Amino acid sequence: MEATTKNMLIGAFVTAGVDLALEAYYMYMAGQGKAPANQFPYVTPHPAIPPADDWIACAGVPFGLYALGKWMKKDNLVTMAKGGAIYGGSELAGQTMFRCIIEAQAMTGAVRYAVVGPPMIR
Amino acid sequence: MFNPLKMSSDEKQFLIGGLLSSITAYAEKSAEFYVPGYPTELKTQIDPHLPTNGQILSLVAPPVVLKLGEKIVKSGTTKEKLGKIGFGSLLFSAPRLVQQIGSNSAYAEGVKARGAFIPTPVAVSKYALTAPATNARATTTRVAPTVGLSKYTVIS
Repeated sequence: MEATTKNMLIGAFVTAGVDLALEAYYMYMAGQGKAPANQFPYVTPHPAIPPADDWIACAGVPFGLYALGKWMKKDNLVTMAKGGAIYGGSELAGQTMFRCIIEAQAMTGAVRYAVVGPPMIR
Repeated sequence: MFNPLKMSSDEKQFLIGGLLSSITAYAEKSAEFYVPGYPTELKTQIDPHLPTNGQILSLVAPPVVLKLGEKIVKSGTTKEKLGKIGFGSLLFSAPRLVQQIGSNSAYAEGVKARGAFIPTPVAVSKYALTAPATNARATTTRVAPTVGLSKYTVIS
């Protein structure tokens, strides 16, 4: 594996690791019936927009890696940031699309939405 | 050409791959919830710690298909492009799969930590209902405001 490829993959896994840490706490509490919904960082200004925890992990981590790489003049950190940005950008785009579908289902009063309710977004 | 992030063509292809994977994964997730008659096999989980079979498939399929495409295609430039898009797809799919397994495991552990669910005993009658039962009667109770701990005092 080339150094660039390896660094990009590491960056993507670091971003996903932070995403997982925040998500795992929420899901563990949800499993216990005490989901920390509407508590920071699990808050969103609109249901169609991913919550703050996803922005912190998917946008904050790559930005942090990029800033650190530029500040320390380490190219491998910048490459890691790019890998993280590809994971994070894709995750935020996909989740926004999914949330818009849920919103559309709710607004049109789809029968399935009324019966099953909103899905748990993991 | 509009390129505010000053991305190289390689980076663009990686991003296209990531987006392709992400859209596939979330489209499958939407279908699981909102498409009537969606195959049950894809909606089920082999283990509570794992994502649904459909989610696993939607995350694994794009990089595999792109890698196969790269192997099959003869044109050098297309092969190179498919390789880069495939790698971009892997950049999303592999960490996402790990994230999903971790998230599902956390949920399963949370449910386990909640403790065993003790169902409330339900009384079942031996006899079927043959006539409408009137076992409740509407009554009126007059209450008056009071001062102290109790909100109301029953008058009659």
